[in-house]
Amino acid sequence: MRNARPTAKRMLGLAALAALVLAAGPAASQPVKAGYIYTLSSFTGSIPYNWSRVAVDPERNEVYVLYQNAVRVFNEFGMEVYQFGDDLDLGHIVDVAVDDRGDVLLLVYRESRPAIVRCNYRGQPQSEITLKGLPREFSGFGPNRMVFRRGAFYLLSPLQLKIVMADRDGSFTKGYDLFPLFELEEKDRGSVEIGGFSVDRAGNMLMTVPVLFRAFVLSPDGRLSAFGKASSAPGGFNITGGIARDSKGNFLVVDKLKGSVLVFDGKFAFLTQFARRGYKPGELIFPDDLVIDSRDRLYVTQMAKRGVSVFALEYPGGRGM
Amino acid sequence: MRIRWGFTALAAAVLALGLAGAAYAFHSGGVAECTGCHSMHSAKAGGSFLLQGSDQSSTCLNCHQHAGDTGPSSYHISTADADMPAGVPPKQRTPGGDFGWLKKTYTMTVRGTTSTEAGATHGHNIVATDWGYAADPTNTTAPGGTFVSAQLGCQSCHDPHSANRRLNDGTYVKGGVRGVATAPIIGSGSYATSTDPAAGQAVGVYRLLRGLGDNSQGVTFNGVAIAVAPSTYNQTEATNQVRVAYGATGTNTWGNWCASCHPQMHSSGNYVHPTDEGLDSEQAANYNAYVKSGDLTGTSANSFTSLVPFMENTGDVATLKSHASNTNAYLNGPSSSDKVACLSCHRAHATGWPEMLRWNMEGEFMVYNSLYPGTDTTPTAPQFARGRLGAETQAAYYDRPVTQFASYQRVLCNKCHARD
Repeated sequence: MRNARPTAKRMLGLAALAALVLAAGPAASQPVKAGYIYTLSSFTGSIPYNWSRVAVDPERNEVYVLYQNAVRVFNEFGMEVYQFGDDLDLGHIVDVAVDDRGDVLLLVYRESRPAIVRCNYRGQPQSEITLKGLPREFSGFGPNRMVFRRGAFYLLSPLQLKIVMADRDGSFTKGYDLFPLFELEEKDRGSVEIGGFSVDRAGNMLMTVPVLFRAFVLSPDGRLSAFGKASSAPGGFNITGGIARDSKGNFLVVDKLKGSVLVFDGKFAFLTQFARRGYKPGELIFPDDLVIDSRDRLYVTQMAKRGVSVFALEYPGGRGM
Repeated sequence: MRIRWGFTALAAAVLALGLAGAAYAFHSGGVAECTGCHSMHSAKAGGSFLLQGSDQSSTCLNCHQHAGDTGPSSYHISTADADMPAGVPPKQRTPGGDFGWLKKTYTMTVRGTTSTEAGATHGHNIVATDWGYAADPTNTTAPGGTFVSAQLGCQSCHDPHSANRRLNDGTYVKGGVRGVATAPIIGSGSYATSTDPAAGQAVGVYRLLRGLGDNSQGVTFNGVAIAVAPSTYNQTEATNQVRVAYGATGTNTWGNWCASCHPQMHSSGNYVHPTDEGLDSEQAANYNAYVKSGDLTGTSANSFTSLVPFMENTGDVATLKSHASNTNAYLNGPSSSDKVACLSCHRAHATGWPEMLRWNMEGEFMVYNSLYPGTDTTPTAPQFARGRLGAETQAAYYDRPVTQFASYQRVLCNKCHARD
């Protein structure tokens, strides 16, 4: 009898372990699909962007596209409704985001120095946010990617391999040096850069690193996990680009070389890939970045003046949220 | 304790990721990881070489151009269209130059006549259709040669599968030859920090450039192009210059290499500027003395400018390694045996100026009234501004402060010829 409880415990432990292993194994294939719906347009037709920067305003279902220092705003049907910022007065705009209040946030450079300009919905500057309290190891931080999520800025320097989090006022709250996390050698400094970057609803930072042929998820508490491998077979990475997460928790990764978007479930099991290289509707030419809105519509940037293609994810029982 | 647990967790995470000890230079002096360029199972229908893209150069630019750059950025050699609206110059400052200049067309009105300086005149017009780079609209063949311009791409000069290598004893051999065994390539041989090959090892040739009899696209590349670059080579030169130490020995010269496609630009007897020839004592002395227009008080210890580089009369890589710098640590000028070559005046990729020259040769002044010419800075001298803003002119000189030049600085032919 004295051994009964430990045995039961062992059995329970084994069962838990088995459950864990099963849960961590490849997920059953989910019939998630993506349907091309349109390309972002004005009244004169599709706008021939090359590798633009895209942000979505989930509250108002608007889409912001930055290209050659001009920001164009599109409504939920993908039609341009407004534009601002093409006069260089604001500086060189390198990224755009929208906060929960509807303010437009511009990451700009003036004489090689970064700043965040807060604008109203018309794109009129209201105030400037300066990064404050950066620790010494982040001095010289030069971000060119910016996400505003859950009341915080997430700023990335893809080549310095550093992420800085700051509050609404620009005060430093947390920083990550990815170089040791990726365990790179010093000789690799400057040769490894982040390809895609986004932040999911839970605050996980999603990244791709093309030369590592990997995608990474950095949790708010600093845990790093990775998935993907070099392969041109379905589910493998050639050259990765943007990464985002849909409302179901799936990861979507752009593969520039394939001209495809790869879908992995929340446990990193490959589900499917869609689109391919081509000039027909729904095909892509060197896709780069990818953004997803609150209704699981994907905005994919690309080259060859193909603009921003929009896809709708479809799940069993209907489209996404 | 918390720190220890944190470290343990981090170490475990890293081990689980399986990244330990790997190196990620990608090309590593030779043929790179296949899947970086070829997609074996989803290549373009009807495409060539299982590449995804309308041409080879488009595949290269997949990694060598990146939207969102705010300045010179690592191995990027082209600025994305998104980042250079009108009035904004390309951002990369590599020794070879930013191909983005090919997309910068300027219009100017001088003495009532409006003219255009086509971007295509600014460099080698690589064909990368998906990226907006098209064949040279004027020269159907390479100037001074027969190479067909419509075939020009990155692969014309660089061999992405390069098997050429430098052995431990400093000799260069071609790999990948059936029936021949040679040492394996351990990594890049392009940098001052590159590992020297031990006995039985080799490193790649500079920048994977073709050579050693490579016959590609109807052109035979004789000899080897010898050079060493600092490990960080893409930087503003507002403070520190990037010195690539170019070498020359025997037929392994840069002029000879460029002549693979441009033979009539190089052959003796033609009415062209000498190349691969020693500067001789007159030109070397001028180079070392020249500071700026009107000022010939310089010394050989600090006379180097990356706007007029020269080839050192040596093929010794150890020597070249000690001279390659991005910190102004070595600014010595030439001796009379060092050589002038094509790269003394031209960049290999593109520049802000016609004929891919390192400076503006379209007028007598590079600097006017202590200002970089621009439609905003010197509006009364449109012949020097040539449709650019002053900031664009400065960018074409890799951001050097205008104070490095004379108030009325004349063209840099004078660095060697000192006629100003």
